[in-house]
Amino acid sequence: MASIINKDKVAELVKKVSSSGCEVFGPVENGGVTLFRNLDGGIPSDFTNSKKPPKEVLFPQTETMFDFEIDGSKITALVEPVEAQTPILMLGVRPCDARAIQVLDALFTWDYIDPYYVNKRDRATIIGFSCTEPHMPLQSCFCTSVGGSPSSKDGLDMLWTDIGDRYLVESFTDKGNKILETGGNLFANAAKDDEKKTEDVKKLAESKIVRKLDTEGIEKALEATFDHEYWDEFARRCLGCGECTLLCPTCHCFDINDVITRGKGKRERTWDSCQYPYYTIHASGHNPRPDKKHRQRNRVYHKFLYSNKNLDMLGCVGCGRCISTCPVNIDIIEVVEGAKEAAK
Amino acid sequence: MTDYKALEKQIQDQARQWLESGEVKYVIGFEKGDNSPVCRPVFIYKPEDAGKLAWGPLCNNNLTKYLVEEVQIKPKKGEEPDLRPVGIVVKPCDSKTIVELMKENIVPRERVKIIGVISEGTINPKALDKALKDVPLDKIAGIQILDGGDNFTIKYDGEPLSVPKDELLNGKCKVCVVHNPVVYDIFVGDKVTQIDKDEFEDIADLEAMSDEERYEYWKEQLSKCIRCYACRDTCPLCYCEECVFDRTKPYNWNEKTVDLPENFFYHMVRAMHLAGRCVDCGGCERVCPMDIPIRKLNRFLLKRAKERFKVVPGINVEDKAMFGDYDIDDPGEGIK
Repeated sequence: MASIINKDKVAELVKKVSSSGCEVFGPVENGGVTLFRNLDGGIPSDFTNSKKPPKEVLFPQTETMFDFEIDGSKITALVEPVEAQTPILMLGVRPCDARAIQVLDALFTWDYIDPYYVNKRDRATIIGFSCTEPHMPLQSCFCTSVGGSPSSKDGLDMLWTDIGDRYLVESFTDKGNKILETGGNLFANAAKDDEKKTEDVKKLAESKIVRKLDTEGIEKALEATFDHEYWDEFARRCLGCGECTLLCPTCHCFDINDVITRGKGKRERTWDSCQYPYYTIHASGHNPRPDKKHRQRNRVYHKFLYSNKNLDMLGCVGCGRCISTCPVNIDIIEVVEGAKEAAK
Repeated sequence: MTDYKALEKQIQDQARQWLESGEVKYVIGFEKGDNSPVCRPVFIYKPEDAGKLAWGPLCNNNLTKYLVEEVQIKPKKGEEPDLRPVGIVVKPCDSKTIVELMKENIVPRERVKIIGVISEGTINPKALDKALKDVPLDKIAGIQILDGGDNFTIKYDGEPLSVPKDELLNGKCKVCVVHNPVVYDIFVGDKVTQIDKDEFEDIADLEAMSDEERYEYWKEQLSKCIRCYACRDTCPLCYCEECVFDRTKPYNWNEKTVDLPENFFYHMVRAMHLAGRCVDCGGCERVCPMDIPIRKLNRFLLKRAKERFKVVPGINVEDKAMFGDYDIDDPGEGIK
């Protein structure tokens, strides 16, 4: 049984949830760009998808792992166990980004349970907002080609769909039901008409996704083209800035550094990018991925081959961020199609 | 009014001729991709591919970055380096970069053959996206843009749009005073009358602020920075073989931590390294994924370089570099 919530009641719900001790994150306009930040009111239903993906709530760009003290040559690590704290609510996650969180879930529990991520993930309730339009600039969304849709419920506890002055609310998990409970009379039962409207909105949104990628045969094509000169051709124009990876909702690489001030320090992890030469450089000075072609190739292989092999899911959710952000128009759909062509 | 198609043809013809005669190794230019209205860098090696070269107000990149890459390539052991020049298509602002690169002995003049194209302004892709909100999504990649004087005319198979230039132009183009290439082998287009007057009106609001207000302004802006270093990576004048921000040995100058103090440090250091050199091609600001107005920092320094040291970068190869020259009359209010 679906519910509805009026748009003007959303701010009240956020307040109610916050006062129950939950930290609420949502898309907030910050100096001209949309980012997932602490929310103290409602959110617009037609917000452009956030520049940085909402993964940063669960996997911050910079995160302190532990502190340490230095006394002469003696270093003492002050490792505190990562313990559950307050619950987290992520409101207004786009369905592509929720599917990306599923990739992160698989990755961070794959060969090693990452306590920093898992702790936050366990505490998080994710409320998705169906897209009524593609949200990336210059038509770069392609979620429908990689198993998603503008109203996919994968990875979500709840999905809200904009049907005019209200949202149709679907809850899929206990965490979602808990929000219904906390909201109480802010939610009402959905009428037949609301459900019909929702179906129409979802269908229309899906028809608006114009970019398509045929995923058939990608793995084979990539396996066959590792040393193909094709990678030289397209990566020649790459600037190596790494925006494609830093803004990717499924990218998860990080670098660990010690930040030391007088007598104490902290061990931090910070997002890293396979597009940087320093990502792979060995202590000997040898770099197994010396050129931009090797690094761009790695990005594509990771999303469309290694992720399938290791996690049994595609590493791309079709959010379109890398396409619309790339300063030199490296378009991952074209790149993959090109590799398939090269393999022929 | 610029006839983009006519310029495009001249560019293609010139590139083809150079490639046929073997005068150049290859030509760096722009091409139009199939899935975006924005033009992108392309490398043309064969005369028969010269027809791919495109020209229009969406040719935004400063291609001289690739020129720097070319001259920095070290030949493999035992291999005779091919020192033939490369051909390059430049807008006036990009040609100013070449002047700076020659001044700093990075790009020797004989290593480059320049197709200099006039420009009366290029379009910001983010602004274009807003202007196209009513254009059907599957038509966006195929739009055509014509110069209509004070407007850009956007054609697709629907009612053409007419958008005031002011809404679409890149910020740098609104204050630009150099519309003709300053260095070139082939001049493409009809010389544009220039009004040589840069009053730095675009940073007047920032300069009128108190120190505290200005700090608050930059705090909001720089807290967004994700330190992708795209501003550095796209900047042709950031050509250090090892950047101080990548360096980890013997120690980090700048922690990898992405927070306000480290972000400030990065942007201040980069701005200072560009003082008296930056030609305001606007690449840094255009590629910034977080919409940080990076040009404002550079404009601040450009203004001071002009006022205090009478330095205007990118105009004359014979000019001395600001930091490479000392004059007894230089203002010295910093030294007391």
